Amino acid sequence: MGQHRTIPLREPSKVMRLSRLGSLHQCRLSFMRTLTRRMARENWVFARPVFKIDNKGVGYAVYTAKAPEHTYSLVAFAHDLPDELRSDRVIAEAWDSTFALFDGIPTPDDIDRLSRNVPYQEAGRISEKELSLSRANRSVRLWAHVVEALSRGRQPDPDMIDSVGYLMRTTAVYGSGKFGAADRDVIANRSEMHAPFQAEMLSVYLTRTFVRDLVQHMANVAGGNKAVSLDPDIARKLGIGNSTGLGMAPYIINHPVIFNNWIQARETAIARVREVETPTGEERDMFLDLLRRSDVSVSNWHSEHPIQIRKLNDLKGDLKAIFDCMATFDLSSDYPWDRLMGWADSSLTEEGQELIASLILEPYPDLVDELSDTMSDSNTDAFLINGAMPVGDVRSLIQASFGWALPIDWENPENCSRVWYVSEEKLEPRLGERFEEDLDCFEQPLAPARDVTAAYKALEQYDDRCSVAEFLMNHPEHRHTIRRIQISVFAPYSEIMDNTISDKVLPIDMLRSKLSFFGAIHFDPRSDRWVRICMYAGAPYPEELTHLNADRWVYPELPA
Amino acid sequence: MSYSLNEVEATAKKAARGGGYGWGHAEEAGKAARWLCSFGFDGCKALASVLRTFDGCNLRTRYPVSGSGEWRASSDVMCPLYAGTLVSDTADKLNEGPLTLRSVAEPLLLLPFAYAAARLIHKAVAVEWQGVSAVCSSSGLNWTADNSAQLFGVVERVGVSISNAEGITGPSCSRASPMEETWSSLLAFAHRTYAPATEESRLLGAGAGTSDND
Repeated sequence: MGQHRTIPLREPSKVMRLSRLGSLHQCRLSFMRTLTRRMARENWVFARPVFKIDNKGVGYAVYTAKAPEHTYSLVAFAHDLPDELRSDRVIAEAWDSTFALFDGIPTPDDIDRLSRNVPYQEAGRISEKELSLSRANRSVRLWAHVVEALSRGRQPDPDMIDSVGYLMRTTAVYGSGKFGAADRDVIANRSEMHAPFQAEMLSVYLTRTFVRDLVQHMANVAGGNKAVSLDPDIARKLGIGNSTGLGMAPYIINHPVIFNNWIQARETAIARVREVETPTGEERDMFLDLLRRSDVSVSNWHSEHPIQIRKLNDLKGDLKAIFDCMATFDLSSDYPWDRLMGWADSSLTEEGQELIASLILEPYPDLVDELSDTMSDSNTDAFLINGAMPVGDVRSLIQASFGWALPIDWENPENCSRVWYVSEEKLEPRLGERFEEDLDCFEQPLAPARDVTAAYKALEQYDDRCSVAEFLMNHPEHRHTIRRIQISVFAPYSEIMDNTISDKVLPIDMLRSKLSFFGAIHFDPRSDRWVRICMYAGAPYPEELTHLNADRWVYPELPA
Repeated sequence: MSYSLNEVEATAKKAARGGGYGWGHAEEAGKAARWLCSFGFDGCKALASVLRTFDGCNLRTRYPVSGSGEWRASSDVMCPLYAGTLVSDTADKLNEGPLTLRSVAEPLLLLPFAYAAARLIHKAVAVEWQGVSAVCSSSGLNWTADNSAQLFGVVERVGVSISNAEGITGPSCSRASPMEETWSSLLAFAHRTYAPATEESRLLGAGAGTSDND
């Protein structure tokens, strides 16, 4: 019996490249699945105490989710939105439906207050009793089709369902104190809220239920006696879409400790599984089954964007190579997951490599799931600058985490052609062309690599033994950067190791990395900085949720 | 109007940036305002006042310069954000002896930095000025103020030192309720960080069109 092998975590220099981050796939650590597993495990009780929607589809509904110690309610408002006003942009001012997640059960006064604010979204205010604020727009084509089909006594066309995947898509889900909502601190100690974004994921889960009920209602209104109920198997295939733009991209740069924790949890999970020497038959079978089901999912993944078409071709090619490999690969002994990752490294594109990395985690809830407790950030001291640190240490840290950035010629227009800014138009985050627009003075601090290089240059005048305090006294302009550098001491995955302002930067890579942790699938870019995704497709609805279907719903059933 | 602490922090940070501070100090201003609000102080008012006081001046001249055991600004009144970050950056120097700061605007804003210093050197840090005595430690804040206490405006002398006493209260507020005039002031400063809306920016900057009827 040999010594048990210890597998190190993959290096940040490998993992933190934007093209790899932009190839991440959901896994069992995703926030949606963490929530559904918990809701089933704890036997949450769901109800719909109110559904007051008229024949025009206007009104409101309340959906409650009762956890062991707290109850949460989605208050949903349905509107009659003229087509010409429908926009997924931050600058929109009206939506098909608007939502607030209420902490508890809302009274009539609460509903009244919410009805005067929630439909206006950013232009209204919510209170500490609300945990999140969101809105959703219809997929016009699919909505119309489903209403028509059901109203005429038919089920909707499965191909159309597959090609769009959702009846409505959220265009923002705000939490964490925004627009007056409760801060995360208020709920962070509740066990069901400890993992990241659980309130937001719950809001979307209940929103999906509302959307199913609303489309049924509209079909019933249109068809009367002729209308039929949406087949539960078809309903389950529908997710809630999401339209994500630049608003989300800065998150992974602005929250280095949180992002580090997510990546580190996933990498730790991967390393733990790679250390499994001899999987059981059940574990091997599960991997192979989910591999096949992933293949089905990929065949339902559509996009018209050239970048995504190329990535999908890569992924499909990778899947073919994986299946060919599985014909002869020995998964039964000698650290097969580690060997498989090694094979993937040299044989697949990043899409396939990260798919394998996610799939090998599936058979091991006992090794992986507890890591979701490490994914939030409760380290407030991370923000504190250690002024006593010697300049020599700072220099070494820069060389270790940002060595790749130092040789870049940051003055070269190619390397700094983009500028991140916030428009005064509804505070919409945008990405501009530095040399074509006058935006320099509005630049947001989203180019850490460039800023670190500037700090490194300024540090040249300082002896190794000088203190950070001394440096910062003379160079307050580098305070932000020094803070990031000191964070990298304990957060090795905190920095993207790529240029975020180059003429080649793809913000959709940043969006996908965060969305993959949410548990999103079917990434469909509409430009280099705007992406549609699908959430909860395949998930059981509240009344169907059991511990048997609460986890791997994200993998579609194999065709009969 | 009640605001979440996240709103306070985000607005304060943008306001400080709009007031001319680098992003590093803008972040500090955000955290400082939030900290003060969480302990029940009007952190928004203190920050808005600092930003108005120093608006348009050369902020460099408001840094603390140390000489003969005292800190003063090279010109006029000292900025508490710069003084505060210097206190926490040189926290270990407090072990050598107390500090005296002369002519400081809005001394309340020094407290969050004294708290940071206390966490960094694992000791309690006392801050006192006219009528006010505060002790910060990792367990919280011990605050006493008498009738002569001046909470806002410029104070002539602030003492910062290591203390044996303990901070006894943790933060107690989860919301902030600044006066409308204060909040508007912060929003006005924050507005300086937003680029003007132009048709071109609207069409090109976000990567999406303006209608979504698919």
